[in-house]
Amino acid sequence: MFPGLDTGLSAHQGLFLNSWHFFAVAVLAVICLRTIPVRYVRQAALLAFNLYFLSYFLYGWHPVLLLAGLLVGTYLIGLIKLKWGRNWPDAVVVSLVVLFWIFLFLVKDPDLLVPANPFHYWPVQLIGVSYLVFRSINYVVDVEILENRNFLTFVNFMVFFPTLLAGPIERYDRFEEFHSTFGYEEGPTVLPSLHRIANGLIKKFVLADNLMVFGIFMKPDQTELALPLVWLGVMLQLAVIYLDFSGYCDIVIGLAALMGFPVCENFDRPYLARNVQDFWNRWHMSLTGFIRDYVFTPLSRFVMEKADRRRQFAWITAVYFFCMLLIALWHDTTWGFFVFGLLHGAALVGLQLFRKYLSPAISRSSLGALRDEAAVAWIVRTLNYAFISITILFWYFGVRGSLEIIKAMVKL
Amino acid sequence: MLQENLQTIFRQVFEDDTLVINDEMTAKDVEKWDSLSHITLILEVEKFFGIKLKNSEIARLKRVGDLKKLIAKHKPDLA
Amino acid sequence: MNIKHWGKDLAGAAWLAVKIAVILLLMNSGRTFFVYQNF
Repeated sequence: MFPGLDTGLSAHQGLFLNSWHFFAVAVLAVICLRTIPVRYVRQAALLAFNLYFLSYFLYGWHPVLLLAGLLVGTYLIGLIKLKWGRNWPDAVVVSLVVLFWIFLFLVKDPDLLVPANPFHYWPVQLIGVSYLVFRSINYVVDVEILENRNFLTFVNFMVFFPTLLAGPIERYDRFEEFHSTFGYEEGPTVLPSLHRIANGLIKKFVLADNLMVFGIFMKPDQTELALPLVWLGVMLQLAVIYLDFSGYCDIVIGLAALMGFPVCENFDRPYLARNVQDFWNRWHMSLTGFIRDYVFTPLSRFVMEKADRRRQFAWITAVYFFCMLLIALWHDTTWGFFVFGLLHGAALVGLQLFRKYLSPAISRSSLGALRDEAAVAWIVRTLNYAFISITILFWYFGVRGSLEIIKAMVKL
Repeated sequence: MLQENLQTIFRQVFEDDTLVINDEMTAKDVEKWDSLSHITLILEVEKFFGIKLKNSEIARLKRVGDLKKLIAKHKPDLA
Repeated sequence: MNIKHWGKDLAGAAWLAVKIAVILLLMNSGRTFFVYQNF
């Protein structure tokens, strides 16, 4: 699950973001995209860079075939939908989206639904497949209102090398706008972008990679440590993951900006989150936004239209819960992530219930004044941070292992 | 007409009779505006103006001004 | 006016150089953590 930790990527595989090789590719890409005067040549150059970068992550013909199939298949579905899809009922589009999700789960977990899973007999690992499928869904669902739907733009969108590995999840319409115009923002943007990249390199390769040994994931046996150190390890682990992922995003966003593509943000100080909903509005924001636009909204609309008025709250709560499970399992199809999804889903449901029933009562009571106190805000944030940190345990240790650590945290 | 009707809908959905909408307004400006009330808003708008909005169109709404443009697009006689 | 602008740029570049030095000195290339990479 964590290829970097096992150093599963050999010297020939992968282009590490802190390598001189990658630096050279990035510099060349920026120069090309800022100096080539003819638009089509620039786009072709971008394609060359994208494919070059990709080649370091494709270990053989199998992933190449799978990727080609996904690209061509998605584009074809788009064409079919444009030509004949005008009168398709919603159910057809929904089925297509569901098929993409099923494809994603089957390919990422060859042991899922074994007799029926074709990837059990043909296991393939495709870099960034979770993100590729999202871009495919974006393209197919929105295809009618997208501009510049040529295959070159589509491919460059799908395998844009800065965001290939782990996003941020950019949308087609934003990408194609800059792909066509290569517009650069007015004013000096080079130095701020370079700083952004440097900040990312520090957060990821200096801070995260050095601090990770102190995080709970790396501790050999947590139960033998003193209680405060177990807690420290757990709290620190979330910080390390944050530094690692947001650092990568800084590098990628800074580089894309230099190349002329202002990619969307993925983080907004998640350590300030007051509750689970606030957390997901600050952490991996492009993921939350995608699920909101392509799962939550369509599903909620359907539910609100069909459900009986009195049941609406219950149904919407179920939709929130379902979306949280989907987000969790999208990360990885393990029982650990499933429980992570259950915990976050339960927290979301709890929050909804709190807002509907308890919150108005509190505001009216004498406790209401407390809500505006800064100290209360900080206590709430700390509690939320602790909660999130504990749920993250399930990513790595699975259900049993995480429960062991939680027991150690409360000295049982 | 569009502005007034839309404002009425907003006031209803967010339970605030004093709410005044403008084109630049976003979800951040209204306290009760979250993913759920957003759906309610869309449904009320669809019901009131007798239109059906596509999910891809809804995903692109950033400000109230975008919503007004979208309604006008579906009901040109209103603009 | 112009000098102020150059001064700011120079300061920005100097600060960037410090960051680069920090990266080169303290970066740990031995391990790449990278949780969100999907394989």
